[in-house]
This record gives sequence, structure tokens and C-alpha cells, in this order.
Amino acid sequence: MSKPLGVGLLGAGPVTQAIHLPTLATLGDRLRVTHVMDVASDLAATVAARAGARHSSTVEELLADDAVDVVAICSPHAFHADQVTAAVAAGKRGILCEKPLATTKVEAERIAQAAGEGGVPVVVGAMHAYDPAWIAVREEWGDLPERAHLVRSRIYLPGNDEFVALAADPAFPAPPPPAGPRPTAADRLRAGILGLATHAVPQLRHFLPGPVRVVSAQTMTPFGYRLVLTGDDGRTAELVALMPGAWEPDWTFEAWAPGARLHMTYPPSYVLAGSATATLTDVSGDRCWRFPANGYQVEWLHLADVVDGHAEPLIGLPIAIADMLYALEAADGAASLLEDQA
Amino acid sequence: MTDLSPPLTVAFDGPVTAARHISVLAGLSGRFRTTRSETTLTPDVLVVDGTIPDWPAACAGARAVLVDRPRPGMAELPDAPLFFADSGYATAPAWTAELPRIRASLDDTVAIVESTVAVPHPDGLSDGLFSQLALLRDLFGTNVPLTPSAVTPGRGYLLTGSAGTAVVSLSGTVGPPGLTLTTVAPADRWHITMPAPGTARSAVVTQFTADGAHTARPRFESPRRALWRTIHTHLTEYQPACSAHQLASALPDLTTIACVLATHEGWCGDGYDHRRSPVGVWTNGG
Repeated sequence: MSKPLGVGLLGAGPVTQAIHLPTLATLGDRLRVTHVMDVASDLAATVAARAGARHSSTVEELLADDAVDVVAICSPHAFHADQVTAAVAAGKRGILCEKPLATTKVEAERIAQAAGEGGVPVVVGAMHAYDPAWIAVREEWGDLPERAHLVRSRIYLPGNDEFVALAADPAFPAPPPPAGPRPTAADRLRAGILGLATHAVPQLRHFLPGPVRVVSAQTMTPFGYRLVLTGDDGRTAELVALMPGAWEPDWTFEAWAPGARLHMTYPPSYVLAGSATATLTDVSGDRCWRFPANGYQVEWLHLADVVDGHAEPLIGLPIAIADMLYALEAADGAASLLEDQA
Repeated sequence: MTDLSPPLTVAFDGPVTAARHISVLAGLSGRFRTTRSETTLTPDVLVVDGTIPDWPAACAGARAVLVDRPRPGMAELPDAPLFFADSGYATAPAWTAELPRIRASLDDTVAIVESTVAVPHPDGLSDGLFSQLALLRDLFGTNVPLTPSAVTPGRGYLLTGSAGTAVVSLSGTVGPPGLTLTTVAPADRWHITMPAPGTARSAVVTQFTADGAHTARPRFESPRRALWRTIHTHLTEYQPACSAHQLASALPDLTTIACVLATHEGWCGDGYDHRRSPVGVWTNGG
């Protein structure tokens, strides 16, 4: 067994603390946290100490650390593109970038060019696309994507704080939302799609590859959306989300075709509760898949395999960028529709 | 934000116990700090592998000892303030939350309690049985005497007995890991399905009554993480001298396991000669 790859984390907020550190702790034979960076130096120091890693408060310091083989980008969205290109330029061996990979098409193209020239694998943190139950059911669904006529993504969740507390001892309170003008309904809808609905996009694109048209869009209070997309051939997708609520979480993805149905049920993101449950139903009955590992564990292991030369990227950067652009177009289309309605 | 006292130090007696607990502790990093056992002589919590017969020799100086995979056969508990046993499923939060109501439904009435545990490898059958016995102790408040009805070497067991007016049966087998427990009383029936104890996937606890079925809200925390929270609470909020040895209450369970093992050579295939182990000679030591 080769030496574990050193992981440097850019950003030490809740996602780092509640998702990546506990996940990486389950993969200690392949990946080891060696450096934690955050602009809040006391936060970086505390989180790093807990992980037994070095800490710093600048991207440059982390990228200069030879103990960092792989960079995980867990910073605010606006920094992703610059940090991916900087990690490539620093000669790092692999990158895991939390979604969204970028916030504009121009940024995405810049990332693609840098990663291509540097030959550095970039995995986007789309954990549901790496969920082992999803990967398994894709092998068995035959022509379901071509035949499906209705797709639904449903995300009803309690507040994230509930699951963060079940996954970590948060070192510091989450920062307050940035001050500024009160966001419009269209702004909130766009943020909801890019922040939450984007999780469903890698699955959705199998069934509605695009182009798609937003035919209905609504925002929900306190946070949520309802969105209807149609393709040129009349296939329809409904994406609906609402949070927080006191009920138990319900995170599902479904696709219907004549005589067949796919039903995916995902556990909450922050807890290490294993894979989704995938159920494929046809005239012969139900077939189910469920695995001990979740999508985060699989995506990290996959990145380690790619970096070590044991595997080719499961989801190449062009696909990840296409996913991102699909989400951007849906968000922009929904926001425009809402503005027109107003 | 978690406002916590300085983290407690945790050491392991070897890589096997470390591998089983270190990822859980990574999610409790404000409460516990893992250390390399060789360099920490007096950790707050020492985790020992109960399958290694001489584990008590490693316990000196620790404020608390967590016995992982406890097995019968140790001569006595060493002198330490607190002992805990990893009882697997018994600390599942969805179970402990509903336990008072399940227990109340069994009070002074004819009832049936039955449980099946599946473990992936034969050497886990002892752990499965230990979990089931802990669940019974939670239900009845006492250790339930059981008799082996059928034991298949390397494949499983069926034990039967009674607790007051309730008849009890426990079975264990080799298969995809998980546990089910059903209680049936005149007024209601409860059915509990638990996933493998290492996962944060919630147990499903359902009560069936004349009015229909009610499933309790899921709790996405693994039993092992809940156990570690309990250990932290004991060490930071209670005076250890006043606390009971959690493991001591489980000693009769280990005796039950030892009896099964002693009468059915090789049933669990773990390579440990249980026939040479003393039965029922654990002492509290404190």
C-alpha cells in the first residue's frame, strides 16, 4: 500500500468540519489531512489541530506545502475558479472542488483550460453522482433514460444545523449571511437552484439531457423552490424543495417510463449513513441497491484512485462543466420567468 | 457553536480498536482528541480490544476504559474508575428514545419478545448476542436468563427464556448485518429494525396499535457515536466515583455468552478457546 495522499482543505467552515473531515477519517489508509487553510486564522488553527494538520490563512501557504498532494476547495463559490487554477499551477496532483465548480461559463472554460494543460484531475463534489447505489442502478436500468417521460426531484429537509450537530462538533458559529440589499424572489430562486437543485442535475441530465425550457418556477418560504422543466420531446421534470421543517427528511429522485420506474432515496448529506437506496421497478418486480459507503466516501476514494493512476475519471471535467452550465441555464431561466411574472 | 471543555484524550491498545473508533471520533473532535497509545500513558479514555485475553493489563491509569468487542474469560476487571462496553445496537438513539414507551407496554402483561441479529462473519456472533442481551436488559431492567435451544457451529444460535410474564427468544445468524426486535403485547406491537451499528442510518421503530401504525422520527446518529457522547457526559458532568460501571451490569451477559460457548465448542468460529475460560468470574474491581 502506498503512502496516504496528503489533503489540503481550502476553507474550514461547516462543510469541511461536518462532511470532509469525518469522511476522510474513514479513509485514513488512502488520504490524510495535512493542511487546513481559512482566512479566519483562529478557525483554521482549531480545525487543523483537531485533524492533526498544519494550518494557514492564505491559499499561497497551503499550495506551497509539499505535504499537500490533493486540494479540496470548500471556500465560497466566488473563489472556486481562481483556487482551482491556482492549485493546478502549483503542481498539485488532484483537486476536489465543492459544487458549484464555477459561477459563470467563462470561469468554467478557464478551469477546463488550466486543468487540461496541467493534466490534473478535478472531481466536483457532486456526491449523489458518486453514490454507489446510483452507480449500480445505472448498470441495470437498460433504456430507461430514453423511455422516461417524467422525472421528479424532491428535497424536504430539516435545517442543516440538525445534521451538522450529528456529524461534528462545530468549532465556531456559522458566519452570518453577508449584509447587503434584500434579495429579490428571483435572486432567492436562483440561489436555491444553484445551491440545492444542482445536486439533482447529474441525474436529471440522463433523462432530460437538454436543451430544456423552464415552464414554471416558484420560490418557497423560508427556503425552497418549485420548478418545472420540459425538453423538446415533451419530457417533463419537476424539482421541488422546502426547508427547514420538523418532519423527517425526504430526499428522492424518481423517473417514470411506461412499465418501469426508478426511485432513489438519499440519506441526509452530513451524516455517514451509507448510500442511497435505489429501487428499480418493472414488470418483473422490484430490485434494490444499497451500500455501506456514501457518495462522499466514494468520490474521495475515486479521486485517490485517479491520482494514484488506478482509475480513469468516472465523471470527466467536460461532463462536470456541462452539469454546471445546465444548472446555470435552469437558474437563469427560472429567475427570468419569475421576474416576468412579477 | 459547540461550547465544550478541553477535549478528552483517547488512546487505543492497537490498530484494530483504533480503526473501529477513529472515524467516529473525527466527528466528535471538539470533545475527544485521539492520541497514539504508545505515547500517552494516562489517557482519559483507553479503548481496549476485548477479544485479547490480557487487555486488563493495559488499563492502568486511564480515567475510563471502553471495552470493544467484550468477550468472556477475563479474571476480573482492573481497578479503574469507569468501564464501558461497546454494546453495538443498544445505544442506537432511535431505540433509546422510544425505550420508555416500549418498556411500559410490556409491564405486567403477557408478551412475546423476539430478536434476530445478523453478522457478516461468524466471529461476530458473540458481539451480536452481546447486543441482544443489552437490549433485553434495557427492556426488563435486569439480566434475562436464557437457554440455548439450538446452536449451529459457525452459523448461529437460538436462545429462549422468560422474563416475568414475557417469553423471549434470541437468534443470531451470519448474513448482511442488521438486527430486528419485535415485542408483542395485548395493547400494542413494536417492531424495530436496526441497520449495522457503524452507520448513522437510523433504526426504524414502529408501534402498531388498534388505531394503526406510527413510526418514530429517525435519528441519524450511529450507536457508536451515541456511546462516545455518553462517555463524554460521564467524564465531564458526573463525578466518576459516583458512577456505576456500565460494563459491570453487562457481566452476566458475558457469562451467558460464555455458557453458550462452553457447551457448544466452536460455534462462533473465532478461534478463541472459550472452554478454557472461566465462566462468571468477572468482578467489579472497583
